[in-house]
Amino acid sequence: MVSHGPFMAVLIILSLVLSVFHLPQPAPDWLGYWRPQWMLLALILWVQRIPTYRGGLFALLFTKSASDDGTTARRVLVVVWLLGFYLDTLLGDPFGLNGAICAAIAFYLLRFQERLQMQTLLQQMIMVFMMIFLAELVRAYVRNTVTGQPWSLQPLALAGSSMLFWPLYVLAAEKLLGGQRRA
Amino acid sequence: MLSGAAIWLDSNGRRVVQSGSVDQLEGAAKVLWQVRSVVLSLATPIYVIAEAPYTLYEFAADISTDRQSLLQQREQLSAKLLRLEEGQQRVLFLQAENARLRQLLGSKAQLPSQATIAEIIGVPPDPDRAAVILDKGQDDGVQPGHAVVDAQGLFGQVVDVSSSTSWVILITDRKHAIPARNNRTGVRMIVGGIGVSDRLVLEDLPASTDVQDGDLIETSGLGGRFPPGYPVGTVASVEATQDSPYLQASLTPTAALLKVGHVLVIAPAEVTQDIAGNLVSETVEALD
Repeated sequence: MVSHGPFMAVLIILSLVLSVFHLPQPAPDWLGYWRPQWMLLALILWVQRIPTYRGGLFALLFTKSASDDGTTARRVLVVVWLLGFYLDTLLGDPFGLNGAICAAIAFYLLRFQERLQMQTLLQQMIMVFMMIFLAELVRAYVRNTVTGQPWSLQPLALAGSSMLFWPLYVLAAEKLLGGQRRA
Repeated sequence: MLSGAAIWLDSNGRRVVQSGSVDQLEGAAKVLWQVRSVVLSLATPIYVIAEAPYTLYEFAADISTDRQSLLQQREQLSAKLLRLEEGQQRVLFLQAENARLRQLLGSKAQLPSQATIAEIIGVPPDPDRAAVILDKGQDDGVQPGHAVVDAQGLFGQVVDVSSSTSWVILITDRKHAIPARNNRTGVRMIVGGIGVSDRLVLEDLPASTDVQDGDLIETSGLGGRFPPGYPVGTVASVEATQDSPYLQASLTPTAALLKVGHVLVIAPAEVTQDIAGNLVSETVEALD
């Protein structure tokens, strides 16, 4: 059985780097509003694939046995929450904000995993749009409360660009994972 | 219009934001800051990797510089050094005179600020946030609240530190505000950021205030956060409207906020009366 753990770890690190990669200075400010949410895309891809892991560190954490009674889901949520803390520091957000967002997305994906695996690519794109739009709405609300940052169409722009990048992202991930499709 | 919110740090180094309750709650739990400081150390490699293409580009540009342009650069720097040394001699004389006059007046003398040179190693990509990450942290004496300046003027202030890095919000960030004064008239004012990289505003300035295009606005030193006398910006436009009792004035920041390079982190100067005499003698010695 192929272990995808290290590949997925590389994908997550690449997504973290892309999350903080800034455009060269002559680039207009508005271009930043269309930056796909790489980390949330990685999270969605990762959580969707969790039951297929066998072997390696991730498999150790997330292997689903016949007697699994929710342990996997709890472990995933803890890891995702910690990843959220890391994102908070990386992006300068209030502590816990990204943890809550990532944990909510992970919970939804785990809860409806079998149903979501039956979706077509178009349905997946719509799902990605809705999840990232809601996540960005929460982020915008917290930032508005904390820093007085005015409301804008940024959540829509971020969700839209993430949705458009999703097929390419899945394709790139499939290549990275050695052509192994989701179970 | 701005809410006038700013980050203040109390005596324990906890952050208090005037306009928000979430940060106040966060600031109340000091342990979270320690956790955040540790996680910030772990986040540094990601920023270094993300910045690598630009670092490599600069490195390639450096090694491809020809001898002729290096010699030209050297000549320019020598001339600049000469001018600065001449200015420095006058500064030392004025510093001694200032300290002597303060002693005569019985007013408190200000210790010279301590500066740490730091390099920008990361720029958060969020267009709604003006911030940079520096390669100096607690181990180098950097603390939240320290002012950051570059060669041209005020740059920002430190808001988060880890052992080896620090997070700085720029003066153009929309939640940043600076106590300032007009260099020409001495009038006090508040300069606020609006989230635009080349623009600052003068907040709530009464319509009768004497302010003109081209006036230099500098830090006033009030509040103790920023040392006095650092240039903040030059007035770019002043508009008075019939229906408002306030002027609409904007500034162009003097600091090169978009450039990546080196900056100075300045610890707030301590104020004491006892050192006035010492300062006079030390400055006179330096002049000799």
